[in-house]
Amino acid sequence: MDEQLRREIRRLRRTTAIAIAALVVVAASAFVQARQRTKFDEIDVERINVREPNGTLRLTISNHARLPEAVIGGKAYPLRGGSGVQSAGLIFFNDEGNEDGGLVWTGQRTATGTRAAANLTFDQFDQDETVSLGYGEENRRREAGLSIIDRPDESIQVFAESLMAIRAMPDGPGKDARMTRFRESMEARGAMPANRLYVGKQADKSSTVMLSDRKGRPRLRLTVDSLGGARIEFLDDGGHVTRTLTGSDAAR
Amino acid sequence: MTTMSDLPFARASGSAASRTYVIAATLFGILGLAAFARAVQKPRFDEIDVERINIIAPNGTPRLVISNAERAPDVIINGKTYHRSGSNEAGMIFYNEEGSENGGMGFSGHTRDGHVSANAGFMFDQYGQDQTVGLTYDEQDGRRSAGLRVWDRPNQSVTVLADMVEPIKLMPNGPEKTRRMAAVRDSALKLGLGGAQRVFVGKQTDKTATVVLADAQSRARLRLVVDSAGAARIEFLDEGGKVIRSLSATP
Repeated sequence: MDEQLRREIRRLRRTTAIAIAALVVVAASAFVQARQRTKFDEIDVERINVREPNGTLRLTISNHARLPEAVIGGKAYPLRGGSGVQSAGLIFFNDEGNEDGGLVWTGQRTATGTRAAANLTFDQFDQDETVSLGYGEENRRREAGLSIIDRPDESIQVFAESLMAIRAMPDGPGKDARMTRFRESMEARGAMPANRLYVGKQADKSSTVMLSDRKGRPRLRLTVDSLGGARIEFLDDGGHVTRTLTGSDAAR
Repeated sequence: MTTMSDLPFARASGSAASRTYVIAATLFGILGLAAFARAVQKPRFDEIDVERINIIAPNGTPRLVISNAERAPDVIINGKTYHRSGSNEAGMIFYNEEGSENGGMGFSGHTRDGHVSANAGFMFDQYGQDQTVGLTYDEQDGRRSAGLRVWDRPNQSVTVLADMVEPIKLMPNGPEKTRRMAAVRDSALKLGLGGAQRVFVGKQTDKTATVVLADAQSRARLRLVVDSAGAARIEFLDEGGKVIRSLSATP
């Protein structure tokens, strides 16, 4: 009887030892697999984070629900989207882990029609987009083209902090006045963006190349309008056309 | 304890070994579970090899497909699948909130029978329609064009044209298919289902660098050119494509 029990115990110990060894292999292999190069035929995923070895985020690829908030100066700001837009796409981050561009798109039927947008943007360092390839549409009013934008030298964090503070205020005249003062102070210190170049089509159905000055005022404009009329226009800083060249000037 | 010690096989050493086994087994069990939990929730990989990645909304709607050419998806609009006009390419396909294709990025290049063919495109589509702005590169045996393009697209859904073309795409290749495809494209053009290229900024196969602004019928009406020999000019064109005014450095 004792001998039989002893044999059984020995067998049990062997079994346990084998089970533990197997567990070690399985557990270790799970970690090893996670560290090496992994091969999939196809995966479904809601978000992919591409990181540097130290963990710094460099790229996210995601659906709308998991789109990261804007990261500025290492801090996340819930500034994105609004008004039901559900963009998905790629967000780029610089060496410091701050957002520096993106590739996002959205399109859906709305109560009144359709709304769609798509943009590939690269941001100025510590600022907003400086070059952008984009398309936007609201109820069949459409724009599509390439934009190049001057941004102020000051960090966009100044703008983000102010905007967050204003947004936290209760709706009312006080909030509106604060927003107006905020805009005015930005204009006063030259912190407003300025479109310098646009190549594309506009909502008035013209195709155009527009070069603007440092305040964002168009000064040279090449246009083919919705009816096919072609012209080159020079403009002054008040927006008045000071010289026009057209095809019919040939005899001049 | 007394009862246990009384049993001849329950030596102190054996008892300790059993406890060690139990503890070790438990620890490894936890470790194993942790490894699997990690793999299920937010796994970390140094590098992955994959033929296709689907970025999906929580409800399963596709928002982006990244894939090789083999697994690249056909066109999906309003839940219906259509064959692509060209072949499926490696790259990315974008989808809007409704799961309809609304842009993408594709690239290919190969030498076959001594002939080089390469192209790459990055496109955003008008809602419910085809591409409205894009960056493109195209090459056939050293004849190259590359640039930025902007298109007008009709208000009607692209499915109107796609439904006309789809049955022809399924026909066997041959003169009959070519004839019917040409006929459909012709009538689509008359119905205004195609669209018009309004802007081109880039280089063309004739080795010019150019900015072309076109009218709503795709006709170039204003053109800035530096040609292959370095000559620069600004040209106004009429509806027939005739240059009606040309400006150059020497008036």
